[in-house]
Amino acid sequence: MGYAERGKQFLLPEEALYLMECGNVQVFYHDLPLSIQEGYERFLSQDTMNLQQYQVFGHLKRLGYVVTRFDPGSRIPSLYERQLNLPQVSDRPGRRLKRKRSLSSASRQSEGEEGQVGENMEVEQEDEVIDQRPDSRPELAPPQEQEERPGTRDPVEMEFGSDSAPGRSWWVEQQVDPEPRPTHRSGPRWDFSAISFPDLGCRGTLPSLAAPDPAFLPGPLSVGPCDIAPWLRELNSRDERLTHRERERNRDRARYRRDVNKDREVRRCRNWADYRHLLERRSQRSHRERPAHLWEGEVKPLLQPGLYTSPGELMNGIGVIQTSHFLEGVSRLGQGSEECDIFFNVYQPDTVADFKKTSPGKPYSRMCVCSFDSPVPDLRTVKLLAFQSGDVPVTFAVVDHGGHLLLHLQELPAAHRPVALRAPGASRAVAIRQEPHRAGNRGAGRRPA
Amino acid sequence: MQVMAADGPEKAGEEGASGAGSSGGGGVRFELEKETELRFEVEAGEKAQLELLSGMAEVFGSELNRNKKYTFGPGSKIAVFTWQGCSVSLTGKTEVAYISRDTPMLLYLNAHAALEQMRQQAERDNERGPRVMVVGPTDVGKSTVCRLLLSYAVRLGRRPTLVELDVGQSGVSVPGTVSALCIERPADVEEGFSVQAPLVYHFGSTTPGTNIKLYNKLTSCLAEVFSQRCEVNRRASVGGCIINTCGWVKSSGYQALVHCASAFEVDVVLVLDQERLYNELKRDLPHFVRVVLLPKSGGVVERSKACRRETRDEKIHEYFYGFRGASFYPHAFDVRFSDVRIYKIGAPSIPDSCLPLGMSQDDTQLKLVPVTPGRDLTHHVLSVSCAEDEGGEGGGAGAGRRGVLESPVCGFIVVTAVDTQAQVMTVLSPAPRPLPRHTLLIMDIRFIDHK
Repeated sequence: MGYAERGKQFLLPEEALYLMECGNVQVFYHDLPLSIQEGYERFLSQDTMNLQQYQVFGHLKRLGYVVTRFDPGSRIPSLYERQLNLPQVSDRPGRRLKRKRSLSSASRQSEGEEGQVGENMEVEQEDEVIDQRPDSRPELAPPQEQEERPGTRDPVEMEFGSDSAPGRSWWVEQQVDPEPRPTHRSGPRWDFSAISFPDLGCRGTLPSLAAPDPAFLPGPLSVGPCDIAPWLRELNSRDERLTHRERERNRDRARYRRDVNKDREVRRCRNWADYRHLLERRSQRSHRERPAHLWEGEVKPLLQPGLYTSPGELMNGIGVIQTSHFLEGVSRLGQGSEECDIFFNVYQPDTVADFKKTSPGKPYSRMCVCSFDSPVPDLRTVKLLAFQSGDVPVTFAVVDHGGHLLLHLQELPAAHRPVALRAPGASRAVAIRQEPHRAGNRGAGRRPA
Repeated sequence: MQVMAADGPEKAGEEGASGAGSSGGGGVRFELEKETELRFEVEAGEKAQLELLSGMAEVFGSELNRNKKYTFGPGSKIAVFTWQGCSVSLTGKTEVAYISRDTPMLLYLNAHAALEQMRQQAERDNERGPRVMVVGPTDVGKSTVCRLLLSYAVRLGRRPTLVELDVGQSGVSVPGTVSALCIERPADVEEGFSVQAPLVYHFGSTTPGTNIKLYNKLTSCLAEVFSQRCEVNRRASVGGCIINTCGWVKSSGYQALVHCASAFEVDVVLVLDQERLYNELKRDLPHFVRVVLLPKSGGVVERSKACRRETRDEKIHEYFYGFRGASFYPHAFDVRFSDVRIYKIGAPSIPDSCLPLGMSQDDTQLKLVPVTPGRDLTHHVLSVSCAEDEGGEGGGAGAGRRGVLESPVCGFIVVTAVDTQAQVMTVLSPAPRPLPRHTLLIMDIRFIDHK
C-alpha cells in the first residue's frame, strides 16, 4: 500500500482511510489526530473517491484482494500487441509524469495525504480542460461563417456596383480572402434587388414600374412606366373553390408549418445545391435511428423454402436482431461515457506473495462501481468499458446501502450470442439478450455476493 | 368595356371610335391604338380570318406579317396585341370581338425584361440562365404566358426550352405526357411552336393526381436531361427554361410544384392570379428563389370540361393527321399480341394493413403491370417506349423494366380494333409497320378516330 517518493512514504486517501479503520495508522491534521468520521469526511469527496467506491474498495481489501487504482490514461495493449507479447511498458510514463508534476505541490504541504489529494484534483481538472476543448470547437464555427458572408457579397456588388456607395469600395478591394469563390461558382446568385420583376405580391412597395430597359425588349418598342395599382384591385377576383376538408387542412397547415426561410441554416444556403444538401443531411439525421436491415432495401421473404434443414439454421435465418460479437464496432462508438468508469484493478489474494507494485502484471479483474439507484449501464457503456479493459474481464460492483453485488458480463457462444449476467459465486447465470437499450436486467438476482 | 382611369381622359374619349369596327372589304376593320388588344373567339364549326392592314401587332408574342391572311379554326380564342397601334381586319363568324385596353401585357413585358437581364448576366458570367416556373390555378393563361415569354426570348436570339408538365393540356405532344421542347423560332401564329424532336415521357393520364409519384419521377427525369443538355449546349444553358405546370395547386398538386421547383432548381416562379399560392410558395421555397405574383389577363376564358376534352381530342388528331388534318396520312396495320408487350404503370393500391411493416404504398405506383390484351383495349392510346426490348424472357427483368419508366417515348399508336380470336389488334400509327420498339405503355386516354 502507498508509494514512496523522494524518500517519503505516501498513501492514497482510500488507503489511509482503510488503514485508519483497521487501526493501523493514525493521521494527524494540523497536529491533531483525525477521527474515523473526520477521515470519511476529509478523504472521501467527489474528486478523490466517493463513499460507494470506498465501500467496494474496503470490501475487496477485507477479502484479501490487492486493489489498485485504475489509471484511465494507461494504454491497454491491443489484441495484436498482446499476440506479439510486447513488454508491458504502458503504466510507466504516465506515472512518472505525475510524480514529477506533484513535486511542487507535495513539497508545499506537510501532510502527504493532503498533498496527494490536491495533486489528484489538479490532474483531473486538467483532464477536463483538455476534454472540453474539442467540444467547444463547433461553437467557434458560426463566427467564421459570419466572416465569410460579407465576402460572398462582393462578386455581386462588383457586378451591380454602380449604385453601391463609393465609401464601400475600399472594403471590397481589401477583401482578398479567396475562399467564398468556390461556392459562387456552383450556381448563379441573382441579385433580385437589381432585377426588377413586376411583383404584385409585395403590395404597396412599388406604386408603379419603371419603364424596362429597351435593351431587353424584343424589337424597337417604346413603352412607358406601368401603373400597377389597378391590377392590385383585380387580383383574386375569382374565389377559390375549396371543400370543407381542404379549408380545414389549410388552416392546420398555416398553424403548424413555418416559413422555411425563418430557419437560419436555410438562410445561409446560397443556391439549390446547398439547400438540397442541407435537406439531405437533415433527413439522414432522422433516418439514422432506424435499423438498416429493417428499413432499407427491397422487401423480400426471409427464407427460401428448402434452404434450411435444421431448426437452428432456421432460427438464424429469421433472426431480425443481427448477431454480433460483443466487441464489434466498439471503435466507432467514440470516447468514454461519463456515468461509469473503470475504477480499480483487482489482483487475486493468492498472488499477494509475489505481487510487486512496480510490475503488477495482469489484473484478475477490473472493477466498475455503480449505485443501486443509478440506471443500468447501456450496451454502449458496457461495450466501451469492455474494450477499454481489453482481455481483462470487467466486473460491476453494484452497491446497495453497504451491500455489494459483483456482476460481470460474459459472452456466450450461443446462436444469438446473448450476454450472460452472472454473479461470481452464485451458480445461476441469467442470460439476457443484447438489446439496444438495456444490457442488464434489473430483476436479475440482486443479492449480495 | 372598362377603361383604366390612369389612361387619361383623352384616350377614354377615343375609345368609342376605335372600338367600333367599320365594315369594309368583306371583313370588320378594327383600329387598335397603342398598347391595346383585340380579343375574339371563333364560333364553333366556323373559321375566322385575320389580316394586318397597317402598323405592327402580335399574337401571344409572335408578330403578324402585314397583308397575310391568318386563319383560326373553330373555338380559337385569340388576342391581337399592339405596342404601337395598328389596324386589322377580321373576316368570318366570331362569337365576340372587342378591343380591350385593360391588358397586363406591360407587366408581362417587364417580367420578360427582367428574365432577359438575367440571361445577359448569365452570358457574361458564364453561368446558366434563368429557370422559370409558371404556376397558377386552371384557366389563368399559364400556357399563354409561357408562349409569350418564349417568343420574346427567341426574338432576341435566345434558345430557351419549354418544359411542358401540364399533362391535361399539353402544348407540345399528345395529352397524358410530359415533355420538353427546345424553342428555336417564335411560335407560329396559327399552329403554335413547331414541334421538332421534342423529348416526351409517358404519363398515361390527364391529371397528375392519378399517379403523383410517377409525375414527380418524370419531372426529375426531365430536369436531369435538361441539365445534361445545359452542360453541353451553352446557348440552351443561357436561354434557361420556362416550365408550364398543371392547374392543380392544392395538396399533392402543390407538393408536386415544390418538387418541380427543387428538381429544376428554378430561379424564378411566376404565380398567376392567386395570392394564396403566392404566399405558400414564398413560405416553402428557399429565399434565393424569386416568387413573383402576376395578374391574369382579363381576356382569359374559363374552359368547360367538354371543351378541354375536345382540345385533347384535337391534339391527338393533330398528332396523326397533322395541323387541320391536311398534312399527314397515318397507317393502319395489324399487330400480333405475341409481338408486343403492353404495360400499365402503377399497380392497384393495397390497404396498408396488408403490407409488410415499414413498407409504404408509394412503391406500387411505379410498378410496371403487364396488361393482357383484350377487347377493352380498343380506342386506347398507347405510347411506344424507347426502352430497349428485353433480350431473354424474364432474364434481365429487374434492370430492363426499371428503364421503361425513365425512357422517353418515340411515338404513339391508337388501337382501332381488337380481334381476340386471331390474337391481333389493328392500330393507327404515324409510321408504316413494323413498330420501332415492342414495349407499349397504355394510357387512360381514348381516341376515337372519326375520319
